[in-house]
Amino acid sequence: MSSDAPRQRVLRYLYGDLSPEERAAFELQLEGDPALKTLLAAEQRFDQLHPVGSGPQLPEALLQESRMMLRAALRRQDRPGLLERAGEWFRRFMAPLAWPAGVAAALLVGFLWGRGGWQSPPSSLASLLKPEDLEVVALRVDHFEPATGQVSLVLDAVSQVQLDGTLEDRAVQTALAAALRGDLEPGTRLQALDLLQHQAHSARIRESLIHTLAHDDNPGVRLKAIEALKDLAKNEEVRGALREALQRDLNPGVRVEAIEALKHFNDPATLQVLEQQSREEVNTYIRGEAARALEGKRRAAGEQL
Amino acid sequence: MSDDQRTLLLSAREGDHRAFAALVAGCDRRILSLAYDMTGNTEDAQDVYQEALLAAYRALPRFRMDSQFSTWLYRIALNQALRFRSRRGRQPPPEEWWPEQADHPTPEDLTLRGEFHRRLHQALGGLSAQERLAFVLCHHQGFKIEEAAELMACSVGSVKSYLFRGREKLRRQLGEFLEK
Repeated sequence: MSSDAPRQRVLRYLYGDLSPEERAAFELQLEGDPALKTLLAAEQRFDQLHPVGSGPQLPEALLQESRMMLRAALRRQDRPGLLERAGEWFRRFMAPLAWPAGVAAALLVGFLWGRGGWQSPPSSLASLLKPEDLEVVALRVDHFEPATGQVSLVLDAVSQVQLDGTLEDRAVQTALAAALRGDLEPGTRLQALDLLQHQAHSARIRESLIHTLAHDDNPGVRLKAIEALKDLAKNEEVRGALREALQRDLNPGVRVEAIEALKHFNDPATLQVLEQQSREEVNTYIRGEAARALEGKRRAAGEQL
Repeated sequence: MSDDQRTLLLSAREGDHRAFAALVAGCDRRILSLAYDMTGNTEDAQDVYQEALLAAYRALPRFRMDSQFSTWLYRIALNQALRFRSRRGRQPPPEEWWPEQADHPTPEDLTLRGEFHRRLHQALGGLSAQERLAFVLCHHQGFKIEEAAELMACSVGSVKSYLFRGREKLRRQLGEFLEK
């Protein structure tokens, strides 16, 4: 038996690697073996300073942020690998052709715009851009006809455009609304919301705010969106979004804002959601607020009678 | 693998990100913690977390349904962390996210604890990749030796050997704290 065997046994004991019988035998031996006891005490001192299972406890926000970054990376990954595909395509088809033939090819150009897929940009947004503003960052070859040289390309283009104007300007509103739906940093989306929140009376902006409330990954951004929307709760479409948020949003802060906005309304759909939340909401404050709102409405109805 | 997990897995294989997120939600906290443990700072931990989960997403078609999904995922994460470590070389100083052990720590406790963790981090940097991994898995993350062996794709005896050797090195490095 190696001279280190007693220590290994101590460590196996501490890491729960002994069978129940071995464990019982170890503990029995411990009572009459001072050397083993000293060895155990020395190892236990280490465990007191740094117990088993005491790995780093990372903040919840870090996990949430990591999850959000992963979702964004997954979305990016599922878009076609444009440059790789184009490179491969060019190696396969273009290499045998003389360069002038390539130059003569007719190019049909489209845009990759927005998040989640291939589509043309909203024409109003496209009108903000000039061809010389665009820089091609990726390219997909959709089709090539070697016999005629006809080629169809799809470009991923970025652009830097400076817009000067007021928040009332349609172009400014369009750009900010597009930023809300884009795959941008949460800080940028919050900035866009800051600017847009006073323009929520515009149907286009309202629609973007509702989309943000329903789909944005970041609770801070959704909170800002609901703050902008709650003054417009007289609008049924907005109320629908608020009811959805109250029932489904994972963030209690967002749900608190939703109930604050909804509790003054008496339409059947809202009453039904309040009723449900007064029974099923996990957050005590929100559940209480829903119950109090319903109670207030019943009292008011009783007084009227 | 449960029926729910199987359904989520099949959807994730079809490209459903939400299904994938739901599938990994039960174990991604541990993956991030493991990544932090192996890299020592949050930025690198987030890189390892993301690379590992993206690699898992891409490899979903190759996952055999009869094995444990979380074990498969942890193994991918460990490989990413090891690759990251070998690319990165020396590590930046640690950020302090170790759990408090006293309910009402005194300033002296906090100073001593901070110093202990700083030195522990340095000492961990002196272990071989396998010793560190065995220590992180068994001591920090609370995996059983047998589970660690499965994750590290080596024998139980090897894990014990890495773990005990690593622990002995740490004890020697941290001797002054153990005598206090």
